[in-house]
Amino acid sequence: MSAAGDLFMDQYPELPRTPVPVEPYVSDAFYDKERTAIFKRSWVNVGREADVAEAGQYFVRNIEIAETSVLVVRGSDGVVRAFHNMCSHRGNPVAWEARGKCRYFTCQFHGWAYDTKGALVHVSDADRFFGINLAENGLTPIHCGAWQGFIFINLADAPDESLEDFLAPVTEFIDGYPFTTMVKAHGYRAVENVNWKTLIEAQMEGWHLPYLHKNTLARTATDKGKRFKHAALKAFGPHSLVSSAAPETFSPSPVAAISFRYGVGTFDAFSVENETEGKGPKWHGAFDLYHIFPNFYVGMLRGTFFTYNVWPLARDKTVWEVTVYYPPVENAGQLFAQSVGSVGLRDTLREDAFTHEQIGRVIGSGAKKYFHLQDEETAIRNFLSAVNERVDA
Amino acid sequence: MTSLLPAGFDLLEPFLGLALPTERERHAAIGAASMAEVKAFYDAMLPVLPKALDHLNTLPLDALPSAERRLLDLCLAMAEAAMAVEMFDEVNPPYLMPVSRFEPVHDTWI
Repeated sequence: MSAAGDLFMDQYPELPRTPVPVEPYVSDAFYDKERTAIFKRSWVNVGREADVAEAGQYFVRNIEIAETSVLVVRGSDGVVRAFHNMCSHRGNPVAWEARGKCRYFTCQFHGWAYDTKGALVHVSDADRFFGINLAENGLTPIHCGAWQGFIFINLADAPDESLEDFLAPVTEFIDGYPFTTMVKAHGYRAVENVNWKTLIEAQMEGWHLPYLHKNTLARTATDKGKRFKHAALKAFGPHSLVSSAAPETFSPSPVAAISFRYGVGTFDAFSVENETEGKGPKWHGAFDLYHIFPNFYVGMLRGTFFTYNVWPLARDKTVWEVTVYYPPVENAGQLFAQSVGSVGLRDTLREDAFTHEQIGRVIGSGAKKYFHLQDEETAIRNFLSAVNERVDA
Repeated sequence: MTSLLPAGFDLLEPFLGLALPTERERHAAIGAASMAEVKAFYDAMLPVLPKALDHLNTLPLDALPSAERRLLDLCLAMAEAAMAVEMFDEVNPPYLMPVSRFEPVHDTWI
């Protein structure tokens, strides 16, 4: 059997068409290389600017694979900065809460204090130390930037490229989406026994919809009995897009149909095509899912978007964070519509999570040395190529 | 005696055990019920759902009286019941990560 005609892969002749090796999913040595070559030097999303809307507001993001805890804070001067959450005295994290608001971070170990701009402002028992230069001992800064309200950090001493250059291949398509008009409505967090790449790759193709999600999302996003084909599939450097079209026919379930009359949900949004208008985003289909290398996804639908943040804890353990954004709720009907949408999305993603762990359970067996990818799975090849390029560098 | 639900929704009283304030609790309650019980709730709720939402929409969401709050929580429990009745045809479909591990974290945002 060989693939023929009308292939996404034809756009990317540099991508190999050969089977992909299993070794990178099961090798501790490969995971260690990913730590240094990817997670300690890539731009990664850690939150939204709205999470630190006011001066003094902060949140903490532990990044286990990068062996640090990141403190993101809006300073008293209004600037959002990121620091290693680590006291200059003996390394204790200065912020212990996941989020909060303060004027100073006081280390709970021995009382050293830092202001919201990261400056060391108090050393306890300073006269008993042997010379501490306050100016040289502030919190260690981390490169930090924002795009469309998404805060990114880069742990490298000197990032290989600016955040702007890093995102440039996708911004021309995404910019204009009304991200800032929507707020966090629902969120889910799972700790899964699986390699992070298996989790990432499962979201990189819609081909599994009519199979794995036959009870849930498939009825909203695909035409029964028809071969699944992405509306668009594009690689943008290390990033990629998979887009699914609205189905030709869509009959919502009774509860979903009622919910559509009261507000925006997820199921109805999957079922309507988007038109590119004016300064809005350049749509490819009803659902445009962008992967921002290495561990971030933005899924754009009409009237709602969601994000995935994927955080490796170990070679075979990964956190999946799902956040669903909607316009602020004004009444019970809208809350109901959003809840129907989010519960439907939740159960679809629970099907994915179950499958991730099924794969995680057997992948270390050594039974398979290679996996196979078809044309609709081109984004996975692009992702693996970006991973390998960095690990081999 | 003050009614537990707004006037006109008395028929939902047998299901007040599902009027719970968080997604996690509503999911657990539906999961602990039998398919027959969930179907009975679904069948009772579906015809009055638009009337319930229309009524709730006349009131400010952040200041609902306790009877209306219970009615809202029953509407939200319908989101869970719909998955069991309309999508899976069972209360605890087997091949999903349990919600106890795929944890809703938004209940802490409100």
